[in-house]
Amino acid sequence: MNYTNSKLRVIIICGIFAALTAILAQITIPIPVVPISGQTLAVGLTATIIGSRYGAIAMICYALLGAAGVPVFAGLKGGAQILLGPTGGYIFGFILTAYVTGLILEKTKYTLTMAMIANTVGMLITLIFGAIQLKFVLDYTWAQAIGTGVFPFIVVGLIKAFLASWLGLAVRKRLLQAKLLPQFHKAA
Amino acid sequence: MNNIIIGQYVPGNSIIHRLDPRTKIIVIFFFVIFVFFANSVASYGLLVLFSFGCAFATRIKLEYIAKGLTPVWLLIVFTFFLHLIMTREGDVLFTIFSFPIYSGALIQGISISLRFFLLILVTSMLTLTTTPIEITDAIERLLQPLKKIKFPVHELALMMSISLRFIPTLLQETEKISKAQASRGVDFKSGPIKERMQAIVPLLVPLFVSAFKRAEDLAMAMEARGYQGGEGRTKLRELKIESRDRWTFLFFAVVIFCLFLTRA
Repeated sequence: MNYTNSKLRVIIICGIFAALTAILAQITIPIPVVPISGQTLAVGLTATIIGSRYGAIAMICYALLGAAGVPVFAGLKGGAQILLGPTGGYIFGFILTAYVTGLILEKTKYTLTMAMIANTVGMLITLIFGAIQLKFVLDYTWAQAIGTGVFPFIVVGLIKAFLASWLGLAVRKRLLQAKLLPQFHKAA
Repeated sequence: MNNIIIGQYVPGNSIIHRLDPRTKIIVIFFFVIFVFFANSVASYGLLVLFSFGCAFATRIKLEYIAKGLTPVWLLIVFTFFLHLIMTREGDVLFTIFSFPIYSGALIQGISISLRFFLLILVTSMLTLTTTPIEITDAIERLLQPLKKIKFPVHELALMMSISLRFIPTLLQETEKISKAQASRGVDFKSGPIKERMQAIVPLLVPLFVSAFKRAEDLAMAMEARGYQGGEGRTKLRELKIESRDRWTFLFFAVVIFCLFLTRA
């Protein structure tokens, strides 16, 4: 097996972004009325910075770490019981969310409008996955699942999507200026 | 947060602790499937007996296990009442405030919340008795067959180990950066929303910059030591299936057999 050094770098970067997601998930940004947990924010940031494919891989790694019992989910929770529990769908949703958010940005432009669209679509994917698992684990009807799992989070979700787009673009810009991203993309 | 690597692991020397992590993962995987087959009082009783038997066998204090389940209690109770109110099957048992409660609703409420409780109890056994490193090793071994379809099993396990290794480091870094920026006058806790949001940028940028730098350092260090990928690498800790693992599988098979006998 020919092991190019770029592959190793991708593995390390994805691993580190999974770790960053775990850390950001524990941070709450104190905004009045709706304190924003860093977990969904981290998903948007990861997708914006390292792109669709590696973002999704980082999220798979994050979910597996949680499954292995490391308390990486919001509120220092961890363990397979969280993934299989009623709220586990949101975490599985992160994988597709990161992929789609990254993909939309890669196919269009890194502007605030596009980032906002990409992150809103991503947020909806997360919520839909969450509602599906909520329905099956707790034997809810579709109406109950959407009522408890999607609607209450839409407004907060939009605020989070805006924050993720804005911060993601700001951080990406700085990383490009520091010539850290082109190196990674060339290597990848 | 400081013992994030240990996770929920409670050190011990019980039979459950000493089982091969693969045995525990496989048994729990099938338990999660078979719990949905229970449909009678006897079959639920059997599963309750099995789950509590496992919990006692870990020799971890029951209060400690219950403490780990606190976040889900509320959901269990909520689900119970939701089914109690929404289900309309069977006879009317009694009415509360002119609201009829059906017998079918009571049965469904109890069975779904009990099933859910058992799922949570048994899956938490894995993380209570096994370290994350052991679980990572076990996942790598169990997914080995997927290598045939070019699924990067070794790479994924390596990625998880790297993540585990970097969580404490990056956590310290986050604390250091936020203190450094606070000393420069960045205010995270007061001021208009727009300023507070802007205050996150000087926290995130150095964090991501240092993450990329550390990745580069680690890649170089690994290359310098001749890292070649998964092919032909030996392990520090070898997993071994022993007789207690075989007995566990046999015992679990008997439990599942009884489950099908006691189904309604």
